[in-house]
Amino acid sequence: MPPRHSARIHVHLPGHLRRLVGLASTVVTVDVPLPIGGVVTVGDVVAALERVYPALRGTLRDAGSGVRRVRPHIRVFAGSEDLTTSGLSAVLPPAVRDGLEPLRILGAIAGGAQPTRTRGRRSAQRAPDGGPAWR
Amino acid sequence: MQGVRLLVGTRKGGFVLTSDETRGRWDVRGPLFGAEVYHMQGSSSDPDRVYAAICSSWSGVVIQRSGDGGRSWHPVGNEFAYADGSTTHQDFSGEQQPWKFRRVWHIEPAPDDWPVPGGGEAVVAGAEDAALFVSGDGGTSWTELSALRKHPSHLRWMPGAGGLCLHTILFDPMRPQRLYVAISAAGVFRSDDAGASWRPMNRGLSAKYLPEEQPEVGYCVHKVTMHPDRPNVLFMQKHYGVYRSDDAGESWRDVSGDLPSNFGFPIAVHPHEPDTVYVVPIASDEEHYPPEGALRVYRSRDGGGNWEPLTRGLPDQHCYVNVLRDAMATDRLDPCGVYFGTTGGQVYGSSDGGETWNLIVGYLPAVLSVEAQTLG
Repeated sequence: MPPRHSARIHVHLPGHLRRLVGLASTVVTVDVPLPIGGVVTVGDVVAALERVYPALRGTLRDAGSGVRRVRPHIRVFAGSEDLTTSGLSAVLPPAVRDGLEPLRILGAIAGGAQPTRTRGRRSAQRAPDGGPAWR
Repeated sequence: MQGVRLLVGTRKGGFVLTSDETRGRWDVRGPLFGAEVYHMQGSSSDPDRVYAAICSSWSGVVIQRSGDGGRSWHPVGNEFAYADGSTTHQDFSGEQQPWKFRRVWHIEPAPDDWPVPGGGEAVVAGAEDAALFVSGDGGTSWTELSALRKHPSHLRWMPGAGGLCLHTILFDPMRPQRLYVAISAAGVFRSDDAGASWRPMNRGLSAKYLPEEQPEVGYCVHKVTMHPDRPNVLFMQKHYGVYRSDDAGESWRDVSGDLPSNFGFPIAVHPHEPDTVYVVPIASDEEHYPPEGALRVYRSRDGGGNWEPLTRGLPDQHCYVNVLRDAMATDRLDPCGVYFGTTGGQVYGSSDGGETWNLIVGYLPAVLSVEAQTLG
C-alpha cells in the first residue's frame, strides 16, 4: 500500500458554525496533510477547515490577536477525550486521524444563541456529559 | 414608491422591518444570525448594501454583508488586528491594561468620495477596546487606522459600563477628509485628514467623575449626531447632559435645559429641521429606566435648551426599559419618521416627527440598535 499523504478527518461542527458557512450536514470531511510520523493536531484540522470554509477564520481560534489557541466557549473532543484545554497543539488519537471517529467541535454550554426548531435537534446538540449545549 | 427599511440589532439576532411610505404596516423579517447583533447599517449611496456586526462568545465577531437589502447575507472578514498591541489604556480601577479586541460596536459604510487604500467599497468599524478599523474591499479585510489609538491621551482612556467602546462614527459630508469618532469613556476625536491624525474635541464638556474640571479626555460620551446639511453643528448625549457644538467640536455648551434628567443614551436630529433634536431621558446613571416609569421622547425645536415631551402612544406608567445609544433613528420622508428600540424588545415608530407613536413590534429580544433607511 503506498504511503498516505493526507489524513481524511471527519469533523462534527456545532450548529452556529454550520449555519455560518451554510452547511446542512453536521459532519464535514477535510483532508489534512499527513507529515512523516503521522501526527495530526487540532490546529491542523482547524487550518484545513479554514481553508475550505474561509468564513470560519476567527471563529475557532482568535484571528486578530494572533493567539494560537482555541477560542473560549469552543470545546473539542475526540471520542470522550476532552482536547479543549490542550488547545491547537493537541494530537488527534489514531481513531480520529484515521477517520474512524469524528473530531467533535461543540459550543460550550454557555456562550451563544442557538435557535432550535425541534426538541430532536436540541438533543443532537448535547454535550458529551449529557448536558445541553445551548443556552 | 417610497418606503422605509429599519435595521434592528438585538441581543439575539438582527431584524429587518420594512414598510411603504405610509409606515402603517410593517413586514418583520428575522431573527437573523442567531447571535448578538450590535449594529446594522446600510450604505447611503446604495441602500441595498448593508452590513451587520455580530458577536457571540461561541464564534467571536462575525461581520456579515448583504447586497440585496438584507434578504441574503454572507460573512466577510472578521480579522481585526491592532496595529500595535503593546500599548495600554486604563481599566475601571485606573490601572493600565493592554488592548484587546472584543467586538465591533458600530459599522459605517463610508461615503463614496472618502479616500481609502485600494479605492474599493469603503466601510469603517468602531471596536471595543476602542479602535477604528477601515476596509477598502467591502469588509473582506480590515486595517486599523492606528493614529487614533496612538494619540498620547490613550493612557487615560477608560471603559464606561459597556466597555471601552468606539460607538460613534460621523463623516462630514462637506469635507471628505473629516470624520469624528466618539469613545466611551474618552470623548470626541476629530480627524481632518481621513484618519491620519486626530485631535480630542472635548472643550466645554464636564466630567464629574474625574478630579480635573475639564480634562483633555475621559468623557463618557454616549452618542453624537449631526445634520448633514450643517455638519459644523454637533449634538451630543453624554453621561450627564446634552451638549451642542457650533464649531465642529472645538467647543461645547450644555443644552440640557428643562429636560427631566441629564442622563440618556441616544440622540437624533430631524432630517429636514437641523435644529430639531430628539433624546430619550433616563432617570439617572444608576437607574437605567425612564423617569417616573413613563417612556417619553423629548424634542427640542430650537437646537437644545427648550424641550417638550412627546408622549402620545407611549406607555405612561410602569415602564422600566432603557433605550441604548444606537437605538434611535430617523427616516427622510416628509413628515419624517422617528424610531427607537428598547431593552424590553419594543420598537416604536412615529410617522409624524414624534407627535404620535405606534408600537411596530413588541416582543423582540433587547434592542441594541436601530437604523432607518429611506427607500425609493
